[in-house]
Amino acid sequence: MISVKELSTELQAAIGQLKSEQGLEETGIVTRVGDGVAWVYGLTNAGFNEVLQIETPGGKTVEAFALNLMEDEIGAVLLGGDSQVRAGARVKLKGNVLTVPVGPELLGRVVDPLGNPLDGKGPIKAKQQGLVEKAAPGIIDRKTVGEPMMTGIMAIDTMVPIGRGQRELIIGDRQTGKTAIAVDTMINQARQKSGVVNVYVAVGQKLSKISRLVERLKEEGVMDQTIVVATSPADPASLLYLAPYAGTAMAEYFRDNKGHALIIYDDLTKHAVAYRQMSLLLRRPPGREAYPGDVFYLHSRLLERSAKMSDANGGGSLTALPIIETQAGDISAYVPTNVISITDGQIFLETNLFYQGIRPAISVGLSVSRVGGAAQTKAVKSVSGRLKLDLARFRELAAFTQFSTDLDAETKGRIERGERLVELLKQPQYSPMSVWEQVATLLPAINGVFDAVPVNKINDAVHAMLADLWTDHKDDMKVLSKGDKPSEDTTTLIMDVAKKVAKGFVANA
Amino acid sequence: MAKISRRRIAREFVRTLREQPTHKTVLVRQLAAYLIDIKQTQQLDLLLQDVADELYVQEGRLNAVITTATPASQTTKDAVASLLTKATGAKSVEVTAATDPSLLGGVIVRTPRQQLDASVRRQLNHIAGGIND
Repeated sequence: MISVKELSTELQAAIGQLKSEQGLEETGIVTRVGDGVAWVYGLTNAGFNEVLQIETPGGKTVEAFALNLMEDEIGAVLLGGDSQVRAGARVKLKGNVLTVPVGPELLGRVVDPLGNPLDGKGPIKAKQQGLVEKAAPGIIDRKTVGEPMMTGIMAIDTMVPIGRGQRELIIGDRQTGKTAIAVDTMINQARQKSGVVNVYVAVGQKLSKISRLVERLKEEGVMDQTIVVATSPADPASLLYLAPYAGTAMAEYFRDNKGHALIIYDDLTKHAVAYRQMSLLLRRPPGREAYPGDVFYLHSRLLERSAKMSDANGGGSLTALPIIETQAGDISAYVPTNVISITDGQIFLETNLFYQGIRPAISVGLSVSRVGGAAQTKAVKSVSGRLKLDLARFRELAAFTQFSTDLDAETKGRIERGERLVELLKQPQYSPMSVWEQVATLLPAINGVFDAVPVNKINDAVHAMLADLWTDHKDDMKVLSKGDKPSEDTTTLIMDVAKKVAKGFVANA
Repeated sequence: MAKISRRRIAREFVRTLREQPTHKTVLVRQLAAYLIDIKQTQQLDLLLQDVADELYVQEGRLNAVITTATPASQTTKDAVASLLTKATGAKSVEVTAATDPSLLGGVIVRTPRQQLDASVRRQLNHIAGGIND
């Protein structure tokens, strides 16, 4: 009987032996080099994305990967600096495509897109390697999105809910709180002990920003279940290009091993820009906004790897939160429209809202989640329907009545309710809310309990109510946090406490 | 004039040369004129390597250059030719010798597509690279 394990060991040994044998090797020659790209003569057997090793005068090798396979030469993108690479240098095939270390050994580490540690904590002793470029799971391997991925941000969990395995785009201008949403979502996974592993991919982000983020994640106790793949603007474009794929390979390990992972690509605009730079240097024909023709495929093949796996495949999931930075709110630019069409919805952040103090600055009208509704917990669903309706009515009336002062009582009531709901949906950073907090906040609000509380006091009132509920009815709230639809008794309990607290704030007004 | 790939030129050049061996001078002149016309005379070295490669593919004739630190003896050349015949299955092997004192010792064998670097310089570089790591 053939043992697969034995066969595997023997094959590995044989491969190792063959690799170490010195003999005739297929070689090429660098004919030109510059701007992070080397042109190589020869190596007619090189495969697409195959790793090449370029000899340097010091006896070391610089690695590159083949992206342009042409009849006369190969265009290869260098994975390190080009100062060591000279024209005339010999080039060899490494014999494999790009891989990175994967596995639980990477948790708590900050690495570059090749899996090299950047945090000074010593080498990473990963037992496995994952393919940087890998095909997405097929139809049979998948399952419909059906489990919630709670962000802890009330506006998102209620109105644009995200499910495990979903791809939800975070889009907005600079300084509108895009990264803050992603970071809060990571923090919430640790606070709620959801068991979801976070992978944060920084594409060309300032090192000071990454450093601050890592420190914050450590403070919040999230770093232990997080992998940070970091690239800075000083890194070669090739590393910026590889970072999202490398991060995905690391996250896929958990997806394929019955685990759940969340990956944040911060941001794909810089990724597309890095790819544009590489493509132009490789002399590929430029298209719209000088991006190459395959810039859609660049992101579609990446995001397609985020999936909810079928039970037969372990039932793991990989949820993606790609970030796109727009210029002056223009979501009709090339890359934003591409990623909007690839993803399962988007959270649109508006500069105006941000400066009005509405933070997170989520535009309720433009944000949508195409598949997350099925994954929303019943508890949150029980309050979100009314909330969306009330806010939609409020927006319509607010726009319609801004020039009029003479309003009937019903219209006035709806506007006042809307103002209070908007105030309630404001949420400070690093303060994700659990399921019971979200339900207990919104249930009385949509039922008009806080209508008499002044807008500027409503947050104080809600905090007081939440404190009372947690102090006096902890067990009921813990049950509510499990996500089931609140029972009659729980609903009555929340309404009673809310009414009592609201009364105090009306009297104090 | 549309640019034809170097590899294709080499392939056609060798094929025509095999079909019409007496037209060698004319073919060489035509190729030189074409290279001047498309302003690609600097590609001559690479084109010659492609021609050598095509000679191996189409005729099984392998051109090899052996580089040694001191002039190679006939015995060395014969040994290399025998090694290449076995390793590549070539019908005939034509060995050209060159010297490069910077190799310090050993030999480098280069064919159009492959290389065997058994020089002392490479081994020393390898050790130096290991130490620097």
